[in-house]
This record gives sequence, C-alpha cells and structure tokens, in this order.
Amino acid sequence: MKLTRREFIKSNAVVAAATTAGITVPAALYAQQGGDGIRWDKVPCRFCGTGCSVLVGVKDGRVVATQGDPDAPVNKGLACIKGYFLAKVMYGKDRLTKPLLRKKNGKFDKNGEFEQVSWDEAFNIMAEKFVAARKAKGPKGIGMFGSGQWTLWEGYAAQKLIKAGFRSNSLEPNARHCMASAVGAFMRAFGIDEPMGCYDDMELADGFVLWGSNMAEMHPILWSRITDTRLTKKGCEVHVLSTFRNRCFELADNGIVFHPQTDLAISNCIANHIIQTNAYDKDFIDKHVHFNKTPTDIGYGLRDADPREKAAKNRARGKLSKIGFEEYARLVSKYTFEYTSRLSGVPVKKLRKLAALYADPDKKVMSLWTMGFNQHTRGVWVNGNVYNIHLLMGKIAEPGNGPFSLTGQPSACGTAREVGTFTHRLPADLVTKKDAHCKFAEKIWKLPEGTIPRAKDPEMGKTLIHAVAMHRALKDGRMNCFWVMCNNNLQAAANFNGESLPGWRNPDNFIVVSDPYPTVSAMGADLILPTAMWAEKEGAYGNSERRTQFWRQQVKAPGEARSDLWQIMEFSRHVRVEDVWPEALIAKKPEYRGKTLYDILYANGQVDKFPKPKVTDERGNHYDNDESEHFGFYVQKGLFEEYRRFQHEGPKKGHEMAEYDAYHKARGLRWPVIDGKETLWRYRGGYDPHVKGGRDVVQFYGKPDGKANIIFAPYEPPAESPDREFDLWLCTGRVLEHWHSGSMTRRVPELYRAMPDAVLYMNPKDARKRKLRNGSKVKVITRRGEIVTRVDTRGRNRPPRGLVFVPWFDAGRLVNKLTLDATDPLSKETDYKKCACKVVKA
Amino acid sequence: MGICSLVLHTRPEKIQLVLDRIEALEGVEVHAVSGQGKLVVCVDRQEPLRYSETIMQLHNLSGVLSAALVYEYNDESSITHREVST
Repeated sequence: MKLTRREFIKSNAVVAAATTAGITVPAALYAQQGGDGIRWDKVPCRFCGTGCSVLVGVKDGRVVATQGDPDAPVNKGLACIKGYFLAKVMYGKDRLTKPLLRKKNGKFDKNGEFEQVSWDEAFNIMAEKFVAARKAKGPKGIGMFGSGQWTLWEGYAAQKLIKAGFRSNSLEPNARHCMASAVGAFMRAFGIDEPMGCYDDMELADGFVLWGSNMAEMHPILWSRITDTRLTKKGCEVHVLSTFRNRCFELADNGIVFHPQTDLAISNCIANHIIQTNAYDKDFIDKHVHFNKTPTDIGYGLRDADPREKAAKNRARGKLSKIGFEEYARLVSKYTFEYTSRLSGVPVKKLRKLAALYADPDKKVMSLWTMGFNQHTRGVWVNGNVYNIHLLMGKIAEPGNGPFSLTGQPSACGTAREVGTFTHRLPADLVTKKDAHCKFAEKIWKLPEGTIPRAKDPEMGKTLIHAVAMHRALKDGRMNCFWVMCNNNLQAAANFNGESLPGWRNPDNFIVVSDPYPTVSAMGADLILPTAMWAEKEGAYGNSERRTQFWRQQVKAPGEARSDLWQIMEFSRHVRVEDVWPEALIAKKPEYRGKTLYDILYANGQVDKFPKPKVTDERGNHYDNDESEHFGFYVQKGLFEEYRRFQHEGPKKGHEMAEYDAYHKARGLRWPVIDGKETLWRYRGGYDPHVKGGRDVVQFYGKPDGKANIIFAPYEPPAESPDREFDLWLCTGRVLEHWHSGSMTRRVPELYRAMPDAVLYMNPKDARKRKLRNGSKVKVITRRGEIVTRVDTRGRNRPPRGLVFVPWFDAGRLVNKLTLDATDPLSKETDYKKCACKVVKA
Repeated sequence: MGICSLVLHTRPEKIQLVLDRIEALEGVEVHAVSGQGKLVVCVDRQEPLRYSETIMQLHNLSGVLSAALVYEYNDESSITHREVST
C-alpha cells in the first residue's frame, strides 16, 4: 500500500486518539518514532494546576511540536487547546531580550523612557535601591512578589534571598490571590496542606460535586476524565454549583445556580440534612473528629478606615473554640432546606438531591472547587464547610471519597505552598511565627540564630505583610522596592485605580518586573528584566494531587533573557552581607564578614556540592543547563537536595520527596514518597506509610492528637452587594482559550483569534431592560472605575438575571479597574467574584 | 498543513445529533464512535487559521461535553505529499 506522508500522519493521529479513548485499533505509532530528526522529551505543561505531561519535539534548537504524553498518568495522552498550542508561548514576536531601565539623560529616572542596559547595570541599581529601602524602612521597606509558576528551586532560592539574605518576610506568591483560602482551611482542619486524595478518585467516585469551579473550561483534561466516568459508570451523578450557568452544566444531573455567597448556607444545609436524618458516621466522628466554631463578624480585609472594618466585632479573628456535636448540630439546624432555598434562590428539590448524594453511605463522593471557593471573603470558612460534610460522613481519605481543592497554577502547590513562599511560611509547612521552625531553617541554611525575621520579631516587630497589603504599602510609601517575578500582578490585583497603579507609580518607589513579555506589569515598572521561560530552563512543578514533576532544558532562551533562578542568584552577588545584616548578627558568624549574599546562601557548601552536570536522557540525547553552566555547579539539584532536608529532618513529617534524579526518570511522584514509593491516599493505613495499621485505621497526623477539625462557620453577607445604583453582581474569572492574564496565550495567534477580547456575559432580560442587545457596546461601572466592552447574551456562560461575568485575561479591558480589594480576613485572599456594578450603553 | 486528532465526549443519546453537526464542519472526519459517547475525530485543514478555528468549533459544538486533543502535526512544508512508505 502506498501511503503519502499526509496519510501517514493522519493515521498516526487517529491511532493515537483511538488508543487514548480505549477504542480498538492497530498497534499505536507515536510521534517519537517519526524518524524526522525531532528530539522528543517529557515536560509538564506551563499552564494550570492539572499538571499534564506533554511531549515536546525539538528540531534545530526550536520547539516544533507538542503532544499529550501517552505515558502520563494525569492526562493519558490528552491535551487541551492551551496545552496544544503550548510551544508557541515562547515564540511571541515581542519577546524581551535585554534588561530595560527607565532613563533620562543617561540616568535612572522614574519618568524616563525604557532604555536597554546591561545586566550588570540593572543589578547595580537594583541593589542600590533595595539596600537603601531595607535600611530606611526596615524589613517591610522591600518586597518580592513571586509565583505559583516559579519552579521549585526558583521559589526556594527566592525564599532564601528574601527571608535569610534581606532578613525580610515581605515575600508573597501570586498564589495568595489563588490558593490561600484553601491552605488556610487545610491547616485549620488537618494541620497539613494539600488534598488527601488524588486524581485516581475521578474514576473511583460515584458522584462529583463542583463547588464554584468551571472545570470544563479551566481544567479540561480532568473534566474529560470525569465526563468519561459519568458516561460509563452506572449510577454516577454530577452536581454543578455556580453563580451562573457554564459549560459544566451540560454534563450536570443537578445544575444549581445560587445567589453569590450563599454557598456558605448550602454547605451548612447539607450538614444539617446529614444530622437530621442520622446519616452521619458516628464511629468515624467519635474516633477522628473534634467539633469547633469560628469567630464571626470578622470584617472584609479592607483598609482600617473602611466603615465595614470599623463595624466588625471580631475583625480578622480565627481562633477556634471547642464545642460538642450537639452544639454543632444546633448551629447548623438553622439551615433548613426552606431557609436555605430562600437565601440562595435554589429550589428545595435541587438542594435535597445534592444533600441526598452526600448522605448516601453507599455513594463515594468527590467534591471539587477552585476560585469560586477560594476567592471569597469567607474562603477559609466555605472550604472548611465542605470538609465538615466529608468528615461527618467519614467520606474522606480513601479511594473515591474526598474533598479536592484544585489549583489554577502549575506549581501553586509545589512552589508556593510546599516551598512556602508566603510571608508567614518556610519550607515544608513550617511557619515564621514559631521560633523553633525559624531555628530549624537557620540550622539547615547555616545562618546565625535570629537571622530569619520572626512573625513577631523581638528586634523588628511585626514582619508579616500579605499581597494586598503590599500594594497598599507601596501606595502609602511604606514599601519602596518591589520585585515582581513570573506573574502579572498589576493586571491581576484588584482595585487597579485605587491601590495598584498609584502604588507602582508612586515617585518614591522602585518597581522591578521580570517577564518574558511587555505585560501590563512590565509597562508599569521602572526596570524590566527579560526572562527565560518554561522549557528554556531545567524545572520542577508540583500539581494539585501532590505530584512533583521535573523537566530538562529543551531550548535556549532568546537574546539575554535569563531564568528567574539565574536572576535571583546573580542579583545576590551584588549585595554584601554588611549592606543588610546588623553588625551584631555578623559577629555571631564572623566568617561571613565581607561576603556577598550569594556566598552565604548559595555557595554554602551544600547548594554548590554537586558538580556541573552533563544532562542526558535514557535515549542518549543531550540537553543544556544554562544555570549550571554559568554558576559552575548543578544548581537545581543542589537547591532541591537542600530543600529536601526540610522534609526529611524537619519537625513536620508527611512532605517527603524522592531524591533529585528519581524525578527525571518518573512521570512525577506524589508525596509523601517513602522508600521510592508514592502515596495516593493520605491519612489511611495501607495507603499512607505514615499511618501504621490496616485500611480501617485513619490518622490525621497533621494534628497532635491525630483528629481533624469540623468547624462551624455561618452564612455572612459579602463586602459589597448590588443596590439601587449599582444594581448587578460583577463576577470575574477565566475562559478556556486564555490562561490567567493572557500574557502568554494572547500571543498565540490561534488562541487570540478564538477569543480576542473580554466580553460581558449578561442575561438577555437584563440586556433588554437596558435597551442592549447581543454585541452592544457598553460601559461597566463600579465605585472604583469603568471599562468599555461588548455584551454577549448567547455565549457559553449564561448568567441569571442580576449577575454579569467578565473574564480578566484582556490587557485592553482591565476588569480589575472595577473590582474591590476585599479579602478573606483569615487567608488574605481577594474576592474577585463579588462586587456591585452597573452597565450602561457606551 | 495541520492535522490533529481529538477525543470528544457526548451523551450517548446525542451521538447522532453531534455527528450531524460535525458533518457540517469542513475538514473534520469521524474515525470511531463508541456506544458510551466517545468519538475519535480528525481535523485536516490546509490553512492554519481555519485549522485552529475548526478545533475551537468542535469544543463549542452544542452537545459536546468535553474535547481533548491527542495528536497534532503542524507544518507549512510540502513534504507531506511525498510518498513515505510502500
């Protein structure tokens, strides 16, 4: 049979798809065997928290093709549309290739134009500004805003630079805007961060409940797994809760549109039903659960002067008080089906159907959520309310049963949460408020005692500052230097006009942005550093299911672009220890006198102990490692192995990872990894090596007595609700085609064309009332700003009357000019889902 | 030239409806259908612009619950029309 190349490719394509779908086909022919001079290697995807593995094909130093990795347990050969165009994110026409500094007459000037400078000049002015601000304003005078897209070692190197080097806790990741509420709830309920279950539950559960997550668009590959289970498993049910109809509703057996914020009531309503019908697992709660309640009326994380803060009785309080089962039952008894239905707008029938799924002892249930729960002024509460349901039923920490918090970034778990690049955290769940944890970190890092600022430091006072507070501090001039890396915070942060932009352009401040592209943030900066991205460096990410995945450097970055890791470490060479440490501290370690931060933090005999590698794969292919080439040792391995000591020698067990080289061979491993074996379900004997005994033994070992917390939290109203003038709810979020602020996906022509601009999704009746129609040009106005866009009444998102949805990817229509910077007072995460707006014809 | 394969999910009772809608799209072939609502399709379009548009159309097709890409080949060269096997 004669076959043209076209037919050959097509048959490959069909065979691969059929194999993936489990439909009978002849022997599979994968792309690696194409024999067309393309080098194939595995790399985790650059986008969401799913952690799909893709095969990256390189030819002549350029990525020419990608495909879903058939050997990857996460995606089993599948890719979503963003993953499909992944390679193109590196090849946008406007890649930055030189450092750029605002200058006038040859000198730095905040009001100058961007001019090309050398890396040396860039780091010199940065060091000058950062050292001066640290001296003048103390630890909060400087700040760094990193990312859940940082590789593990980038986050770890940044952690060392800011907390140990600059002796400041002003380090935050953009995961604060994304996962902080999930972290808060995990710590309160279980004492250890991250889900107990894993993606395998998507085939093992009998019911799926989406609480504020549009997985069909935001986690398409995981959604295809759930879809497959729903269509092939008898009796399987899918329940979808959202404040508007989205693509997930097409699969839903029970689609629930609720009034914003009433998820708090609905979750309590289910708990009440479980108790009223005696469906709860008495044995489980006797053995494994404590009952608690949380302080109420805690405010909205706004500025002190805001009347809503002044009115709050227990502002930002979260200390739990112990109660008994009876008291808990009494507190939730208010949330009857009828009361909850009135509050939420959800018919009683739908609430009953949802409650019945959870209360059925024979149905295994997986609850999933993303930003609907986390970006919520009561985010920690509402996350906890779902844990309450699972704990009441004992439907937790076993195959098919589990609450599962999904992440939005590729390493929100791995880098932000596990490495701990938050103001209050240190690696492996350690915290700066515990002196013993700081001392342990100082021991590992070979630092004199007292180097790392304590949350309440005897010498420096209160040192913690979260993401939203950083923008406020910049505006007020309390923080003068800010380094934003691997994210687009000027576009992403709420209340652009009121807080972010005035903070960035405050004449007293020096703002540095590291990015591959001239984003909104880069344009708002004073110094731009060109960044090597994704496959242009050796990396590691940690996904939603605790899976750590590594990749090798596939190609070189353009021009003088350098990775974040290189930037952090190279910059540290420009700061001397005397610039940032007091004499009394240096005197405790006199051998550090005269050294740079680089010498102390990275050339410390640990990080630099592995020789420069010759990177090869098992097929004999060679790869570059530009950082190791530059610094002269295996940088990534040294940082990872030092980080691993926190997991293996630290005061908190349960975070253990395998040694460095194991990850280059595996398609990722889920921690804790003990004796090379990964853990699928935590806290249960037979699955979790930290729990002794059989599968009937459950131990929530993150808490001292091994018991988890059920925490009562009531419904409380949001910070801002529609009124007569601003008569609509404004909800913001994402779309399938674009990832977050669109800085990468909008540079892929195909994705840009598929969804060029952010539109306003609106109910047709609301449109008609305002004499608008599909496509009309409108102004969206809030108390904080306005944007112009077009109405969409027929699109994939169908809001109920009274609510509009606008995605935030569009740099030309900055929806964060509209949003309110209200946060969960406990997690400090912004609520991007609820504020009041009006829509008028433009 | 662009060629890619996708796995689509649809409710079993809607398979025929989705098949009819796919038929209306240019450059899309259905290669396999399972009774449980899975379809294997192949997109083959010369023009890069039309190619990506077609993929998005499949995503947004009414009745399609999820769409995932499996294999792709994207290349502007003419080599693809040469014979490679006998």
